[in-house]
Amino acid sequence: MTRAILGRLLTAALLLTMLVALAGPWLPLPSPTERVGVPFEPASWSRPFGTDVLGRDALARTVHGGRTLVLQALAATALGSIVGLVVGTCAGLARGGPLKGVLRVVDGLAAVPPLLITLLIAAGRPGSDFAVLVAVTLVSLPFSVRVIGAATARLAGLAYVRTALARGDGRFAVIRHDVLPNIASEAWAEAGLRFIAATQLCATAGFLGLGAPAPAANWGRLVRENAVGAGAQPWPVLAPALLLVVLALGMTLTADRLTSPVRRPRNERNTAP
Amino acid sequence: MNLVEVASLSLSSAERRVLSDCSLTIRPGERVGLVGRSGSGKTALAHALLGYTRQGLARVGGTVRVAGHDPFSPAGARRVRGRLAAYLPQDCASALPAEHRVGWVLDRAARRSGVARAQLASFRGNALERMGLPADLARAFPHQISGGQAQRVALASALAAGAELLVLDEPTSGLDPSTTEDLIHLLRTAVGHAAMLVVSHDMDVVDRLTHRRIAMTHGGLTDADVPDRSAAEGPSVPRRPVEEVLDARAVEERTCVLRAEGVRGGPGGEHVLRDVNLTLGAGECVAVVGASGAGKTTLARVLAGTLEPSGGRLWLNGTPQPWSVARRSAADRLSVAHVDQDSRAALNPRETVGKALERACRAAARGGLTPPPVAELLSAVALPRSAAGRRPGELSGGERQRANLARAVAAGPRVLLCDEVTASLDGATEREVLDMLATLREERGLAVLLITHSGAVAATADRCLALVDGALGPPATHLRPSGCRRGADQGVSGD
Amino acid sequence: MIRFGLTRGVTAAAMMLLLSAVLFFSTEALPGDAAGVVAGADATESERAEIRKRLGLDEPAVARYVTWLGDALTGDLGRSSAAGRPVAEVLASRFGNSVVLVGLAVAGIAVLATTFGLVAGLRAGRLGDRLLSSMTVTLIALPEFLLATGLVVALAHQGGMFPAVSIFPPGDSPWQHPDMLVLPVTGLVLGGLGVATRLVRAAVVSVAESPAIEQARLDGESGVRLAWSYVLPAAAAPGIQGLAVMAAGLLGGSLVVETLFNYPGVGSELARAVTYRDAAMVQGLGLALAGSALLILFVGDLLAGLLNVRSRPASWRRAERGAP
Repeated sequence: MTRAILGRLLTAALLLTMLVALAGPWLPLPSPTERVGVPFEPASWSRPFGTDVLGRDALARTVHGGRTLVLQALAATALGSIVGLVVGTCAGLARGGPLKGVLRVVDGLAAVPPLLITLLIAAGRPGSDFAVLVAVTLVSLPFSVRVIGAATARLAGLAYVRTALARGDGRFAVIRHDVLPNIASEAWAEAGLRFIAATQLCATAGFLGLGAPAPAANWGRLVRENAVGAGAQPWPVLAPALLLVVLALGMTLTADRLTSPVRRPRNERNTAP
Repeated sequence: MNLVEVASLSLSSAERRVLSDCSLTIRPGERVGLVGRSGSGKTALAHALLGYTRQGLARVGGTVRVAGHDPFSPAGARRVRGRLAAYLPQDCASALPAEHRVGWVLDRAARRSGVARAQLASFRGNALERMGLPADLARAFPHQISGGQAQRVALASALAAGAELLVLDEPTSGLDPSTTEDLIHLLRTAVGHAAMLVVSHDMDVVDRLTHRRIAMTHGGLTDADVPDRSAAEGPSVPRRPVEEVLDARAVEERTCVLRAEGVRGGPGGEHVLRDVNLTLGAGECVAVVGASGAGKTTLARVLAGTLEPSGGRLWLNGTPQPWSVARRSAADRLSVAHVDQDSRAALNPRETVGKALERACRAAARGGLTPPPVAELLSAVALPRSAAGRRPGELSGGERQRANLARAVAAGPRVLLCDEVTASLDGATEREVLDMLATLREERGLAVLLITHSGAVAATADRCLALVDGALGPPATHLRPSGCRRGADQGVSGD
Repeated sequence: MIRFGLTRGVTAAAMMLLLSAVLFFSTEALPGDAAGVVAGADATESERAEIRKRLGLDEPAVARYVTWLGDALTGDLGRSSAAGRPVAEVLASRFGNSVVLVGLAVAGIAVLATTFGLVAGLRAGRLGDRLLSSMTVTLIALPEFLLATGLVVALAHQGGMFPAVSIFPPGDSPWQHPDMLVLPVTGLVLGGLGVATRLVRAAVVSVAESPAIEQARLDGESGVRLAWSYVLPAAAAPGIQGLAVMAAGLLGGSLVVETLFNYPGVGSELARAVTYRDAAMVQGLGLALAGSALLILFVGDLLAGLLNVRSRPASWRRAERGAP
């Protein structure tokens, strides 16, 4: 009972965070890059979160710092999932041959620390948010391919897929009619997990100083640049950190609920006793 | 005093009652047999004697006492499990800890019964010797010994613990006849005065090992002394004599739609099939019977072209064909349709029946055939028109199997490979589906290969063949179905 | 077994080649390439071209990749464009520090994750499992830098118990400054503990459902004896593999933690090199970290293979003949 209430509260907080992240920059707030006071000014009515390490409005910076992050994560998830679906379904249906080799390479790549790969790929184009997006997409791709490939391979052993392939239905017809509808829930859950990982990676990239350079706000970077003053003025660190926590935990719980085995397929009604 | 006293024990899972109101007493040294169908709750009761329930099961009522101890209480479990009572599982080989040597397992059992460390080695030697096992078996890991040896090791460790009650779960399943004989001999001589509960579906084994037997049906115990034999042996097989089956080569070359010669192979390189020869004439129905595991489904998959054998040749409509369906021409790959055993897995759960039939018809059109409209297909398998809009999950088992047949027929095949199509259906529905197959054969000249374990189903075929030791031959006398007529053995059925 | 080791070794080498190519080609076009840095900001175009030629930058990229890889194999990782020091020298001075940090964290995680995983897995679905699972989910959901920053704010800024930065004189070993190791190691442990606990728990749950464990319970084994003698040996192989994946992942986490605490390790040096656009340094240190990750994964695979009893010969008699 309390779990359900907690879950609902977290979902509401998640939606609110997404809203702040995406629509925040349109709010009538002071400029996030302009100095409005001394560093680490305490919270007041006009500046609810006080000022940051350089004396900029902490609320404005927090509100501006989420959009890039969320958009990057969303775009990386979408791109990764689409490519993952295409490669994964084809590789899953293939029996041996080069596509199975693809899956083996992908398995190896998935074990290399994602943060390291993100850093190494994004390091080549410093100061570019797009480079971070590309790096995060490439990192999340092996996981998508692996999960979708495994789900498809499981279906490929079932009689209806074998029958369709045996009577000569095209590979894409089989994927469209037989595979995609039946792996949809797994694919959505996987996309949810990828989004969580992408959010973490994008935030960490900001923390490490990748992506758009200094004055631009980014929740990851806000946590780092204001950590020095956290003893005196916690809000400039706490606000972006809390938003990141809500984003991460909310998405995790939502994805957990999608993947939990309690949800049964509808067509189990007619199981003869 | 009774050794075991079970009083109105009930076990329940989230969905259903597994044991209801079971009462049972076993006197010291008494040997009791427990028989019943698989899934009737035999193992759950056997576990309960040791106070154990599998994940998801819970005791909802009743008590168990073993020599006065309650095995469901922590203190009682310590006294009962592995000490007063020992449990021998069905598959002993996988129940031994894979990472430890046999000697370690025996030592653990001896330590439980309080043998001093210094005496472990001689104790272990004696235990192995009593079971007729070599002494150096103690150094082997479980995966290095045979199933029979694993069972003896498990028995040795049960006896080493000094158990007063042995619970044996299906002790002879998976053993060949001579090993079974050895085990029965061992159990009658080596066990001593311990009481036994023998759980088995094999009436013969139970009769030879026990003093009395009880039967379990749907979670309830009946102290019937004469249990329902057929319940334990599976479906009964008619034992009427039939005449000799003639050579399949008598089928004329002209009407032959499928011919396979010297097929050998099986899944994973295993040679389930050794030398299969088969000829199917147009409109002919041939039944293939055989024990489970004989390779019936493998044969169907090989003929359907979804499993490549390691050798043999195939002709369809008189032209030689590659084994893999992917390398056959668009028309040739349509001429064999495989109707799967499990209609639930055979139909896409997210696709309506109508859509599935349409896709099959499109495949037929690609192969240059003119497929019948969906409505006609549905009426051919006696499904209502409204079935086209429904998904497999919304159909009953019989309806689903018909939809499965309709989809196979829609692609315009010459041969239907029906793999246990009626296995999951009740008697009346089974007859309907078989009648429908007969009609389809008559109307469309379809050849049918009817793979089944049931004599009654095989009886509806023109010819009957048995798959034994990887080859097709005339069925053994007692397995022969009643309906295989001599005239039909010529393979001329479309008269 | 030897064949198994060889295939894994070849796979790891192929992966290394692939990663080195990704690394080289993604960073060789750094805008502030070596020529720009060496020549200075106000050099003319011809001066830059001259320097490019001298540094071999006018050759085709593939040729430079082959040269770079060959040099790297002989231990020459080039020269840092920002600091002017050989990359190999920087790597040598930092590598040990990182090994200490990551090694301590791996040891801590291995002990904690095994305990938590066993407790949760053997009591799947009960209160202890639910509490531990909630902790695991929370730890997995939170990015490492948030956990580490939280530690700094709580224990260094507010609590004042440990230093917020781990800067110690070059040449010193981290062992001489244990107080500076506490927070970075704790940060790394928190970062990896969630994933590791989940992996161990999954291995334990699948083992606990096996017939061998059911039989052990029916034989009256329980508690620590059941966990230590029956469950742990059976769960060891998948558990070790899981720990190896986690340990490799910690190399990524060390980037964040070392940067946050200014800990003089390979990770913080790499992050700094990325900021200064120091191509040779990024390539050299990146290669070292990627190589270490693959090595850890390879060793984990080998250990798991060795622990698998079923890889022993089918006959125990012949296998034991040579044994004393």
